[in-house]
Amino acid sequence: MTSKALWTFNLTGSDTVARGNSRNTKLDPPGFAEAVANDGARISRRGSQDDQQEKEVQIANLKMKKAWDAALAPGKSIPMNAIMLYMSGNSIQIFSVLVTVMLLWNSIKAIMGVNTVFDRFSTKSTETRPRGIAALLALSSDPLLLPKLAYIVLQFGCLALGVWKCGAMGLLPTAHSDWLAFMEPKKILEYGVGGSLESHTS
Amino acid sequence: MLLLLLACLLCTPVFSAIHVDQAGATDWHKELVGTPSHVFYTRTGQRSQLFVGTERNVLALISPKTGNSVWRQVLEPSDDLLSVRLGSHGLVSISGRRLIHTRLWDAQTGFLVWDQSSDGNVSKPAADLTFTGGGDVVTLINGETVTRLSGEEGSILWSSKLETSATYRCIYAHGRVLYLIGTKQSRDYPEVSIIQMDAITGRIIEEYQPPNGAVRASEDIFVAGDVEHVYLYWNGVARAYRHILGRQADVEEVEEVFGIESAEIVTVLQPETMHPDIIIRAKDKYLIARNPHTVVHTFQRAHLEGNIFATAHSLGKTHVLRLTRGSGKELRAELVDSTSAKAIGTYSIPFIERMSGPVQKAFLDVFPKKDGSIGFRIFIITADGSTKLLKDGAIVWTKEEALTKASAAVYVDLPEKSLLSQVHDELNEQPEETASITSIERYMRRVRSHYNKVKALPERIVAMSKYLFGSSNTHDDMDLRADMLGVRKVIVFASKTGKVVAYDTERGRTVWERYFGGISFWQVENIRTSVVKYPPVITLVGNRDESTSLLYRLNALTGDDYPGDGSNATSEFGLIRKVMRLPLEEPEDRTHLLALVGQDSQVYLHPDSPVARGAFETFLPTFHLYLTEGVGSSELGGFKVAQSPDGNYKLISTWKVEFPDDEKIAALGEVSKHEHVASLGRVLGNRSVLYKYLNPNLLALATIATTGTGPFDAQFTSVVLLYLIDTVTGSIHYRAEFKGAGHVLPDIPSIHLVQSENWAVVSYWNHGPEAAPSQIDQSTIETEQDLKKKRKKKRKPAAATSFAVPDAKGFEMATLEFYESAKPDSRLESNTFSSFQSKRPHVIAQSYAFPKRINAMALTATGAGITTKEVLLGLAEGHLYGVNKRLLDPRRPVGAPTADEKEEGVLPYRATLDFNPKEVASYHLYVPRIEHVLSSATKLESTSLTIAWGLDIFCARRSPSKAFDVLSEGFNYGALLTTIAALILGIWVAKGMAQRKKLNDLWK
Repeated sequence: MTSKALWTFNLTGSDTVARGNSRNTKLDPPGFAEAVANDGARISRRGSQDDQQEKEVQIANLKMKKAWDAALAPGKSIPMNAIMLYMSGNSIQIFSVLVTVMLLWNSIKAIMGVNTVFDRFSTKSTETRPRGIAALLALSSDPLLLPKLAYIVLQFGCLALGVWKCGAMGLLPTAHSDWLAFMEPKKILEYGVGGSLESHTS
Repeated sequence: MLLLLLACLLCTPVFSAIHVDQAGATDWHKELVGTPSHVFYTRTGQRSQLFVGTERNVLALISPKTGNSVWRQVLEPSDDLLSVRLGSHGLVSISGRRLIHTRLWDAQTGFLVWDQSSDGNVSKPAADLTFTGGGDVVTLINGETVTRLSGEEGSILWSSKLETSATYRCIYAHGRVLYLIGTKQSRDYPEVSIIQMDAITGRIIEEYQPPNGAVRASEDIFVAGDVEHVYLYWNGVARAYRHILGRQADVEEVEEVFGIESAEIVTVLQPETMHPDIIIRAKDKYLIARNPHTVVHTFQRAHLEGNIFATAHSLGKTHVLRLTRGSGKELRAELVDSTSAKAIGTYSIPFIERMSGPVQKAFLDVFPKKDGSIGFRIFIITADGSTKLLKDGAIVWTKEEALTKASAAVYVDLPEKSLLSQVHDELNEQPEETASITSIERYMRRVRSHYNKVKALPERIVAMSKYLFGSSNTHDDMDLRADMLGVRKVIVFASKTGKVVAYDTERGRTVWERYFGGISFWQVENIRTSVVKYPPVITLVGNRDESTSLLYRLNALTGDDYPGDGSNATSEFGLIRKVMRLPLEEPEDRTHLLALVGQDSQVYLHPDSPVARGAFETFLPTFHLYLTEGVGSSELGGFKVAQSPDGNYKLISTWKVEFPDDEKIAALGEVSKHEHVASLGRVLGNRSVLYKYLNPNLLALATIATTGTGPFDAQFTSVVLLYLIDTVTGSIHYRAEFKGAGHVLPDIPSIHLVQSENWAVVSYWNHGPEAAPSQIDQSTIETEQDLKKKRKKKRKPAAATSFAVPDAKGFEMATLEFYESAKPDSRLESNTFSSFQSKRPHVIAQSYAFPKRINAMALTATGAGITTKEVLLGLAEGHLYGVNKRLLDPRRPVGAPTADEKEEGVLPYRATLDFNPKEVASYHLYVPRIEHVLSSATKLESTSLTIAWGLDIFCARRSPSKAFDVLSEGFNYGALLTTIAALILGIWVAKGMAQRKKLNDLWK
């Protein structure tokens, strides 16, 4: 384009297609030819068939990329959580307990809601969700399986962090002392009794 | 906001002086003095005073109005009270064994004025004293040393030792002559022997035996003084004689003197006075006679039982009283004015002999009443050893002095209220009953008990609120039903004098009392707790004589024989040496079986029915016995019971531990068979567990080995050894030596031992390193090295001084805990424990100095064993004191505690256990000579009921872990209820407002 032109019309038509198939001629701008436009649309439709596919793939890729982003997001929060847990100390106080419980709770909630998180990255319609065995089959063919798995694994990572924190705080029944109260005393087999014989002196 | 303000206002606590309130609110104290052996019932004008010196070595002035002591002086148990006299300066006493003390006590305050000591002779304890010119005291000690002491300051004026073969028991001063009266052993009978002495110089004038002086016992000799002469009366072997002291050959027959037939001297009343009354029993009557030959009065009907005589000098006259037994429910009292020889009257006093036995001694006090007539009080000592004061035909007060000789006691739980027991009833169904009733019937029963419960609900609420608002203390009626907290129980004491008394533990009121004549009780067992419908039953074990033991079964709530028809209530055996309650029940009346160990290895079963025998025989394989002759012996034996061919049970020896010759058993621990162990291990700071060595058949036993005669001897060494012996196998699991440890003095036992769960505490006196024997036993080194090793492991400074005996004489307490293994988390995994397969326990120990002398040691008891135990100490200074087990913890770290130790909550080690006045259970009360402490669990896990006795009886509640299951007394229930009400009101108001707002929002 020359820089001298103060204004230009681009009449190649693609512009119009981009604008949509508007039938309102009154609004048609100068240089607009219906036929050309229709013809062009036909051509462009044929041409955009590939275009469309390409775009869908692009979107799918994009979605996939975004899905991976979403899947890996918890991983990024792990160091932050770890620092937070570390900072809150191992003593049982309201803050440390709150932080740990929130961490555990969020992880569990996230794992339970993994489908809703990845719904927006799904390329298939969500209306007809397969059930039963079909769901399993569908799952195996689900392109989001990997990101979902990754997401779950990372959430489990968070969960492990929380459990480790619980352990550090002594809340996990891992020591002997935690099971002491449930232990049955040993049954004594012999009954021994006795003592001093009465001397009967006084 | 307003509500909040209101709540705040109401929550402001109302302060009250709870400390003073609490004293006496949940505890009670019965102050006793012991059975009086010396009584002085005096009257000066309007005031009468009762001085007593007792068999428990107590001197006291008792208020005749209340029976409480105005003052009392409790002498040491080894300071035997030998003689007491009331003089013009005060009360003079002679007491002691090896060291004889002559003391003057101020009569009104009980303060010690002076104390003069001299050497005693244990084999001749006789002592007497008299007063001579100017209030000086002349004492006769050991029957051979006569000393004149200045009455003012107790200094010795002269002392002379008699060189004689006769034994003198009595001293009598007459003017400036002293007469010593005693007996001299001749061919068949002892003969009266007399020494005449100069009271001013102590020179013996002469010693002689009057003719016809043969007597059966020295108790048959009586002295009766006069202004002119001193007469000596004695019941000779055939006749009674009279002799004027100083006139050697002058002996008259009493029959001739008073002109009566077959005279026998009963007693001489108040021989110190100018006109003593001599009571003579003639053929069928009693006479009051006076020197030289007057018969003042004749009591007819000599056949009446009792015949206790008492006299009183007051109002310028002498009165004589004869007490005889009425019907068994009353006493007959005849009062005679012996000065003017006229009978005043005969009175009847209600007196139930079944409860206390017949009267043994009586002391009279006569006083003028406002209307001019004569009133009298009688202080009596009954056969059980208790005292009563009678006045105007009624008992004014009773003091159970018999309980100063209580040998055993047992707690009896009261039955639950009938409502609850109905539920129990249902649960406690017999198998045959289960088979017979239909399910509808059972359902109806259930409904019925629920209905009854509902019906009683208002009453319960009232009772509850009464309890909450603290008015429960006001009721005085005795309810023999268990209360909500289980602190109301019955404690049954049995004494060596045959007295049995049941007190309620809430207030100390007498529930019932009984007297068993001639029986010396030594054990009580609760053989049936209060189960539904059946009353609780106790068995009393006592001896009638050296070869007969008796077992009495009594209903613990009423004291009546059980079963009520009197059959089988009493069982007679040969001499029984040991009684043990078995964990077996007689199926019929659900009483526990008792195993009795008699002489010659005989074992009896009580009750001995075929069913009981069957149950016992199936139990025999697991039944093991250990017996010892007790403190002072050096042998411990293990036995099994086997049936001999004739059907009797016999002991068969299985093992025997013989301690080296010089070692004598000093104390035995015993683990209660009913003890609950809450936790099987001890949680350490790093959350690992040290498993407790829980072997109920493990016996802690302390022995003492001494050389030399006593702590003042240069050769003296003393060592206390602690053994842990498995009583089933006889294996010694542990042995520790405490060098230099022993008794304070040979006659002050200072070694006490208590044992519970997996620990033991022993207390002893440390004589210091110079009393430690030098050679070291090989086995001890091992244990000490084990200890050392363990300490090293725990990063503590290795106790290089572990062999050294602390160079500080004083009382020490050593605490030992037994664990399954030294390593945490390691345990012998098994569901059963058998002594035959057990390992040695790992023992850790620490010792502490304790600043007070300990007379008795015991433990608190709680229902589930969750509450920390407390070691209860009867302190020699008259306190019941509690030491928390947390302080007696052998894991207390030496030096700065590590993080783990801090986490575990152990206190850093301190060598002394400080005396903390807050832990004195008896607060400011003086509870002397505690010999036994017995605890019982209540329904509150935090609270343990504790009774200490010995001389006094003191009952208190102890909560070693604080009362964690009850709200504090100062809790503001009103505020709580108001807050709840305010919140409910607030919610109600807010609910209305919220609904209105919601509706308004919807209309928008």
